Amino acid sequence: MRAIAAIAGIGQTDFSKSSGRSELQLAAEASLAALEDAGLTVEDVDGMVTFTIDPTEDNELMRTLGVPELSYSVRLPHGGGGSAVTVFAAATAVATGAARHVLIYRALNARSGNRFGRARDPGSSPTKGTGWDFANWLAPYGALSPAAILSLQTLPFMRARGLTNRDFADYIVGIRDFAATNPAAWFYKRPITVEDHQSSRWIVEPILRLFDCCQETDGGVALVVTTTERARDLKQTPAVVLGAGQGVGRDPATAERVYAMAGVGPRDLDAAMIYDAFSPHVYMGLESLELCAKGDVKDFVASGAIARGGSLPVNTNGGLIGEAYLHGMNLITEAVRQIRGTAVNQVDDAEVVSMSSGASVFILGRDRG
Amino acid sequence: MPIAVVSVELEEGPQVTSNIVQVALQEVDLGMEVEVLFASTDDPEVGVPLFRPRGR
Repeated sequence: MRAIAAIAGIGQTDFSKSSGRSELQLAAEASLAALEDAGLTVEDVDGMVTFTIDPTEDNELMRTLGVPELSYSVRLPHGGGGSAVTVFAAATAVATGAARHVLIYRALNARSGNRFGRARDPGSSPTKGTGWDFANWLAPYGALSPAAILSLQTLPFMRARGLTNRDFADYIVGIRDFAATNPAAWFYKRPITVEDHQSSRWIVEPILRLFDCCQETDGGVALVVTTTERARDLKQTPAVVLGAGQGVGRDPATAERVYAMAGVGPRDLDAAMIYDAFSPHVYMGLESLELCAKGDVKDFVASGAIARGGSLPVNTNGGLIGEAYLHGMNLITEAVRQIRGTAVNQVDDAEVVSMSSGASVFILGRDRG
Repeated sequence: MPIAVVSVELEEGPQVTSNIVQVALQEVDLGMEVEVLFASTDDPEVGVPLFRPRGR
């Protein structure tokens, strides 16, 4: 599938703590913005991709937008871990001809509606089909919030790499610096210091402090994926999907497969977007993408390599912690902007950019014709 | 009131999630040897497995 598909349009709503409108409306607004960005109309859409847990139905969004017909529509599991898979699925669909223009959407009122960071009530929300059913086994023991649930895997990793919570401040100060110059970010103009990070309250001691946690955000993001060939005739510089893959399991070798598919290696990346629900996941992501020597991730981050002006800037919009928590999708729009050269914190000559969530990855590049 | 949610590796191999009890939270650490106890529930047939440091 190398370079057959491209992201041709991106759209988003405002990111807020109280949108004042339904998820359906947010999805529709983001979708129209993505189509407008691409230079397409609703009549061009014949595919849809979203998350299993997205509250907006495909047929509901079709009626709202006026999309006449779909030949491909899928929902993907594993919550935000599936965000990178949306592009994989859409690219596969257009590469096989199952659809011509796939609209990817995700809209949520994660602050004013069903708050994402809160302890969940295991009895109240169905988890079958979401990839989060395992959480019901943790609930009786008091691991109820995403912060607690996802921390269970973290301490052995931290110990093995010599990481303490103080080290995470090195990542957080860097992305809060990116957010500080991004007008779309919640933490716009609000950079923090290591001391600020270290004085924020514990959420999961000794792993996460408040400033290690992503936000709860209201908003919507949409993307349009089509073939690279069709994208060349549209409005924007295509962000070509060089390679993509899904990984489910304890330690899948997705990155290896995706690098081979893309024909690039870790050293070719100019920037990386890594799903940062919580700080430690960036450290794990840097390792699984082989972006630093194994065992060296602490010093790699402390060196400033992934911050502004570093050799491999990560989450240049401020990430899910600094910009907004659009369930990973705002890292995809940022990857596209880096390839187009239109990011607010633009990396010079960004030609190859990865986006990953958990063990799923895709790599974008410029169109080489 | 903070609680310690832990992943316990059983001698038989599998890992289970549980709580560690009967110990100060500051003393809980990776690699601690633990033993099972069963907390009673409203159902006399059902006990919830919890863990405490071995030999207490």
